[in-house]
Amino acid sequence: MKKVLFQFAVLLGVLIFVWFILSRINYTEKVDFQKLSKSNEEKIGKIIYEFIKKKDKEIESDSLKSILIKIRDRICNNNQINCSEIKIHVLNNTQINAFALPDRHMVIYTGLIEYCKTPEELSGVIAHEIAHMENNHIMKRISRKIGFAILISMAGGDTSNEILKEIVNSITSTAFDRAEETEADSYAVRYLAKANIDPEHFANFLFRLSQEEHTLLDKLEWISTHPNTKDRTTEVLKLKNREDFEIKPIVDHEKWEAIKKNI
Amino acid sequence: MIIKKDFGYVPNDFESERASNSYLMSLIALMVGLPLPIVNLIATLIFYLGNRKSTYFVRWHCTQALLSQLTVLPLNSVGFWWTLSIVFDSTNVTNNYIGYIITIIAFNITEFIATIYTAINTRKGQHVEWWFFGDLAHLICKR
Repeated sequence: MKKVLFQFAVLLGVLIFVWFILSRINYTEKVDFQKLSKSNEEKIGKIIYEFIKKKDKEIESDSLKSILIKIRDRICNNNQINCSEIKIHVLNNTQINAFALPDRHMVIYTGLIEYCKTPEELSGVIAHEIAHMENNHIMKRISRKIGFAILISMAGGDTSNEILKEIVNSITSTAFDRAEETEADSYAVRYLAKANIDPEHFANFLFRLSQEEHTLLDKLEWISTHPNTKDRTTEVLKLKNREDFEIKPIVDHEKWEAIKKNI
Repeated sequence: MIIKKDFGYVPNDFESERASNSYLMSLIALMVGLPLPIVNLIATLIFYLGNRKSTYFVRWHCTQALLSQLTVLPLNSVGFWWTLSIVFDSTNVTNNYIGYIITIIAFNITEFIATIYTAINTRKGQHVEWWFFGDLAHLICKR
């Protein structure tokens, strides 16, 4: 028995020793894993966006773009987030929807812009999507849906329409993870408050959607994919009360209405 | 580390085949079950239980095969769940992780080669004992 125990101790010792020695080598410095996954994410983001763009036309309106960039920059600059990395695309689609793609692409449908009464409401949705990006929810969600191996093969150029459809579906239509949504909402409130945008507008937007859920059912992609809107409204208002901020408007009401008319 | 020893009696052809199969079982299950490390253990365990009432030579080798799989299981499971946490949970790839993965890959390859070697020799009716696992099999498996 003693002999076996001794042998076991030696075996365990050898394993730990080999692991210890191998761990001394600085692999992470030799291979930049962050860069590796970043380049994969770039390729995957581009492939998915190109696929989505085939269906809906991209809107190239300077006045609209400038206000979206203004919102993005205000949120990012006040929250130490790199603005230039976030690429906003507006697509012509009547659905009330916005979503983030890998490599920090953000897609906003014209239906959502038209539905937002104020730019502050739209800021809430943008802040929510930025929170998904900052917390790496998008890649995690896609990995969960289609598997890590397929993602890697996609980055290598192996893509089929079926896989792309599945990914787009997972980003735009499939039910989201409740914990991730709650986290994104709480980050969004913080981002908005730091950018001196009243998070109450975001709560109003959610509340209005929850009230009109039945009449707008076919257009409510964003809300139907997110869990329990009424609870979220209450939670956003609760979180808002904890924040300290000074409201600064984004653009005046007339200008916002004019931009909406021009879409 | 792997020694051919005298077993006390010469096993017949049927015994040699059964004993050899216990090693082959773990190899096949290992290939089928990757990356889930539990599959090869279950397969070896089923084979072990199926041969509990067999001759001493067969039981002994089934025990050695099972013990070797039991050692690999916790090592591979840690590697498996560590990898999953990196893929899905934003855990960073560290030098410790890469060092660990190389260690278990080396351990698995060593065991793989040893298993093939043992399966071939056992099929010939020769008794092959592994360091540590052989002594442990002697403690567990009684005549």
